[in-house]
Amino acid sequence: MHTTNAYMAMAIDEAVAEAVAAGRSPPTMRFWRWSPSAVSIGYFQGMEEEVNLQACLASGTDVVRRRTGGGAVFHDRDGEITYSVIAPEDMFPRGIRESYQMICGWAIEGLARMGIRAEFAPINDITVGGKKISGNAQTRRGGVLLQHGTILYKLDPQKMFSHLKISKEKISDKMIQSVHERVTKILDYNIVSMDEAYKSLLKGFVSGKAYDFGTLTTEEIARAHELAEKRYMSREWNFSR
Amino acid sequence: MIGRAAEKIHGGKLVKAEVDFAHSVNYVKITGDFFLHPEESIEKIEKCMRGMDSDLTHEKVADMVKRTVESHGIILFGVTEDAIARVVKKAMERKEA
Repeated sequence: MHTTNAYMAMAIDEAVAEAVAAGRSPPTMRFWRWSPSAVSIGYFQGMEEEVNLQACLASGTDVVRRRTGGGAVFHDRDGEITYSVIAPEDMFPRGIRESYQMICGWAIEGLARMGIRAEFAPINDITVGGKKISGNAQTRRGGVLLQHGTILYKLDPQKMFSHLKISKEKISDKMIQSVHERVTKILDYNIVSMDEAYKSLLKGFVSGKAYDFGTLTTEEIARAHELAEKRYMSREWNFSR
Repeated sequence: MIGRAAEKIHGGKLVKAEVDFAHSVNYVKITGDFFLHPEESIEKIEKCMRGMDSDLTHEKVADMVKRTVESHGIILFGVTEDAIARVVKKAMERKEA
């Protein structure tokens, strides 16, 4: 598991997807943490509508638009483990729901290794006892499927809400209480370190698969730097809607 | 005139529309937390509604969106053509100025 800023995180996913599409890289899974903390928004969301940009600027939080749909997420550097699965589409069911279910199933198996009984909650979540522990987003392009998702390790609702565009009135004790009723995290069930949690998740993801540990190729890293600079750091991309 | 509307649709996803219109539609912007592949084809959906009469029925708007989705092989997930048409029509009932 490595750490990366938001722009490189998104750029690496895209660079690896391009290399997989061109047959130059194998199907790839990666795990990372966002550093600094970041807010990512879905492709179809408006940055100014969703993100408290002043708060992000003040706390040094990155803001980035994803190339996947879905909602705005606050990615706490110390609060979550993020994964990406990047592989040819034909390795997955054709149906989008079914492919979400398959990949989320690997995360569910990883959580089970920590004694956490999670289940797939269509259309793109994983829940424990009805509370969300993981959100996922998928896209398909050039014959390659990319799914990235976050698994909550710990949660600070006050910090989360202050970076998203929710009125101050709404960031009340009642609302924070409501988050605890709707959202859960690994530490609610098992006091493990983040590294131990990652290792359990990794086992769930690779179970039953032939795999090697590797690093990004020189080509992927160079392309990711280019994409980060030209797209993911640009105002044109991030504020395009 | 600009009108805006939002709707939480079945499955929990939010679809919002901003529509600039008079007798006909000048532009439509659709935002939300749904999924659609390939993502940039949202612009094709938005463009297909430009120039349409603003009193077109919901069914006809949905039909236009459906034709665009089918002809460009767009895949919708967490949103439907019908929901897009509904929220666009609603936006035109809530004009701001």
